[in-house]
Amino acid sequence: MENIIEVKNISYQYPSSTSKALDNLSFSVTKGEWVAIIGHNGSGKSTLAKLLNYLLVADAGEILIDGQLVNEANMWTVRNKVGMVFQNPENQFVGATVADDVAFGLENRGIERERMLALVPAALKEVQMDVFADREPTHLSGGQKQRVALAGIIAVAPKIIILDEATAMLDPKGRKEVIAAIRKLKDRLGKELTVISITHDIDEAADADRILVINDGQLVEEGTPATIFSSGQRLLALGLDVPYAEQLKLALKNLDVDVPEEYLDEERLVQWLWQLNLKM
Amino acid sequence: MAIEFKNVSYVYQPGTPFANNALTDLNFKIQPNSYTALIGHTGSGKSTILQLLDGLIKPTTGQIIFDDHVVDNKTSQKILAKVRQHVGIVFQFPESQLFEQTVLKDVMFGPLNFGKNPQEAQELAQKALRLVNLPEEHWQKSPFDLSGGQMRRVAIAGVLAIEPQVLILDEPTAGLDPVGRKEMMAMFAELHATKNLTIILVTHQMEDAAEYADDVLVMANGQLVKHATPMEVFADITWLQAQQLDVPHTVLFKNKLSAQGFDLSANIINVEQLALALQRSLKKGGNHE
Repeated sequence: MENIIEVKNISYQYPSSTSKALDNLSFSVTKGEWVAIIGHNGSGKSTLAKLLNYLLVADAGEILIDGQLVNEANMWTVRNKVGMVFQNPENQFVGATVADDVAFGLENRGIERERMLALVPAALKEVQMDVFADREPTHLSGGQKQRVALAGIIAVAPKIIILDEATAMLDPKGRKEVIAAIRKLKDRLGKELTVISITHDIDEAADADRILVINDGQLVEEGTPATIFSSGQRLLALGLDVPYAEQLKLALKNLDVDVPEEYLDEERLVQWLWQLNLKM
Repeated sequence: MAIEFKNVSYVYQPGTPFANNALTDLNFKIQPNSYTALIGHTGSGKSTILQLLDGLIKPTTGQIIFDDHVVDNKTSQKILAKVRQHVGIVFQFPESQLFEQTVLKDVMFGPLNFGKNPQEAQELAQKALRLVNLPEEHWQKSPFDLSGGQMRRVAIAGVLAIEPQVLILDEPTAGLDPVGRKEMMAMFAELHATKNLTIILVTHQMEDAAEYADDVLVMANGQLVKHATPMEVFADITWLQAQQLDVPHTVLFKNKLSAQGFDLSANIINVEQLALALQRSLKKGGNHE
């Protein structure tokens, strides 16, 4: 299968820091995958996101995006392929109206006006913000702002979308809206869109195809959600959350109930408990 | 400190075409040393209540009684300033309000502002920084050189330094990672227990409200729609969903178990309670081996 992202042995250290933010990190992402990256604050997740987009330059190692080396010569083509939504909805607005804001990325790329007139409304429609096209971004809710930021990215049709804790500052309703908008986009584009979601929301990570766990700048685990969540206690030790079913399993284990090692989602845990109940 | 709302209403921009009833006829009492969760979806009036509690705005009609101070529409700024000394409020993302050159100076700002001399202010600041577990090695650093979680602790210390009797927390864990969230909530629980602080927690995290609060106020459209124990509020899925509130995970999961045939008590709202009930239920079946 074709790899859309290849990260090979990259390291990065901030000038003001005494330790490496990323330390010899390698992984790859298949075209069309949805990958969640989890790790506590300061683990290096956001640094990684910035390296993928050449907002930071790796000290060592190399990154290939869609077969192309991420370097100064290629940075503009790479950025056309990688769109990012950041954490704080307040920090990513430049336009006076919602539509202007979505057009900003297109203007930057020198897209002619005729095409913008079609692309902007289509992108806003995709995230169900078309009725807000003429509003000022400041008057929107957090979830609406993040959806506008997403529309700005959809308009330039990247192959990869990176969500850098894009839902962390939203209320539960806003969070659901944003996730639903990205899911819908992913369903429509299928293999043509790859999603990298850096998140603390474990339920969101549970829906990914694969999870990467980063700790102190290193990749400590990778696998399907089921594989990753089966090591619940290890995740907790790394300062991460586990899904509810796993929390309950741990609470039962603490009460000396024999629980299976493998990861069970909620439905399977209900079934397992019921079987146990019948057997007793 | 006890706080009582008596027929409190608040109107934004009264007497103009933009007049907007933010709060309508609120009546409730917050007991001294209680831990109250204030919940409701965005726009339900929670923030207006916070501003009233901190004396930043005055009720349009009705009274708020803080022990022996009565605040109504005509209360002077002088009285409000007195009330504010007893009520500390930690706003959302409080680290954005840090401004001083050093951590210690930033925390001293509040006490100095309330008339303490530099010596007293410094002692209060040191005490507060110890309460939030910020190691002394950071006290002379610029607050902007700290991590996000540490910056938030400094901002909270700034509020604790005025030695409030009531601590109001507006989404105090928003944006923190899972460990940061747990440490922060544990810290408030400890302050509540050891310092006899009255805590009012404004949150969207129903799990936190279910875990830590002993009293819950539910707001919707500017009105108080429920005032009850966490058990009463969170056990009722249908009602919570009608209010567009999240249901704690434990309650949802318990419902799945009940649908499967488990006979579980209605009084289960957190994961430890559910595990204990399941363990008992499994034991009751007897061991046929």
